[in-house]
Amino acid sequence: MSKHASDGDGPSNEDKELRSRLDKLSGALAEQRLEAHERQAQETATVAGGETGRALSLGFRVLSEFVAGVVVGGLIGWQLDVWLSTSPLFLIVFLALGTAAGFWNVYRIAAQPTRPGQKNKP
Amino acid sequence: MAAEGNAIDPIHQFEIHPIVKFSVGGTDLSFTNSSLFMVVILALISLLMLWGTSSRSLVPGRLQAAAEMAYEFVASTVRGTAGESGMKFFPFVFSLFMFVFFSNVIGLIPYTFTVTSQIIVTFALAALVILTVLLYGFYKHGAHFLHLFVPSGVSPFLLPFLVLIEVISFVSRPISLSVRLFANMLAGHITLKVFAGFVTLLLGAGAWSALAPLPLAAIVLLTAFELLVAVLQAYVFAILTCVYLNDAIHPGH
Amino acid sequence: MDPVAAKWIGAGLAAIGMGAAAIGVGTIFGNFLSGALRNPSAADGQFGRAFIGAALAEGLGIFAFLVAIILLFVK
Repeated sequence: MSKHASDGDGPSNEDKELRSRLDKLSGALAEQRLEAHERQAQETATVAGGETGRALSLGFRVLSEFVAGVVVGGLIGWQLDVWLSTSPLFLIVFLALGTAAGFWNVYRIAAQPTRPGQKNKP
Repeated sequence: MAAEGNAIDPIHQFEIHPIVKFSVGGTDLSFTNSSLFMVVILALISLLMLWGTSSRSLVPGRLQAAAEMAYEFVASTVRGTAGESGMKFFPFVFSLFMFVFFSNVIGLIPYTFTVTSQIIVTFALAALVILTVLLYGFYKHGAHFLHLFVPSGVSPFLLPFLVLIEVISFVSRPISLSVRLFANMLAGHITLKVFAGFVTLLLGAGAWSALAPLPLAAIVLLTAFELLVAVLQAYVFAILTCVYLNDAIHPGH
Repeated sequence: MDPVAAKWIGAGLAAIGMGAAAIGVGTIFGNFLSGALRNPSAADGQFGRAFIGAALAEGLGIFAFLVAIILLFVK
């Protein structure tokens, strides 16, 4: 510390810099611990589900998402037809959209790798 | 099971009989066997949780281990799906899971009434989940929450179709959530009663009664499968609630 | 043919669709098992996907069931 005058503010901004780095570090540390906690949670969630249990629950979800998508599309189309008394135009359009929505839902569920090894956030 | 004559009537188990007739201004608020079983379920859940967590000993007794296991299972599901910020909804998801789990498992006991085999009950639960998602989404993100329906990175020409598809898939969520639970419970219990009917029919058929143990073995297998389905439906309901809450917490994921 | 009889026959024909869905599910699991026997190490990862395929086939079977129910009960 040769220059005393500038030292007055030297150590203080050094302190500030140290403190900001410390804050950044502790923030990153908290983030890291949160991440590790979540990954650990996902491990237990998968193990608790068990292999057949998880595959069966996947199957149930896919089945109902697909059927619900098409049925809701059909209902909306049918209701619009009744209100606007058009020919079965909306029914066909919304049935197609509902099927697309059903497949889109199924794709979203099936896209995650079901192998416990490669896991990414759903 | 068969109320009139010896007709096999698997639907009889789903009928609602009012126990205490009570109607306010035309609307029927009578206390039925369904509400009776709801009260039984709530009593059992609170009994398990309060008694389980009362001793709080380091070495958990059986009941405390059960309560801790239930908590740990739902907590890890919520953390795994909706992340740490999802734990705000943990009490909501936990009570949903325990209610559905207990009502499914209790429903398997003969002569009991399965609460979740009524479409109105499961639809009420699903509507509760979707309303929470909508209210929290708009409360926390305001208009930005609508970005949930606009997938990022798509050509503007295709956008109206994709938005419509996203809206349909969002509207189909409560329907799929409630109909899945309802259909599984209904179909499972009807199959059980139909096979039970076979047993009684075969027993009454004189020479053929030698075949009676066959449907009985089928019922044993079916009950085991129904127990798996009951637990699984509660788990699927809980994990999907977390997935939909996750959409409310971080829209446009 | 009076409409009620036609409706019942239609519902009966629609229910055949569920049999077709059962064939689909059978094929999916059959192929999955033969594949799993050939390469058991990859089997557990694809177990979930076999159920997804089976669920989609069941979904189409449920549509046949829906058509039959609509034919029977919707006035």
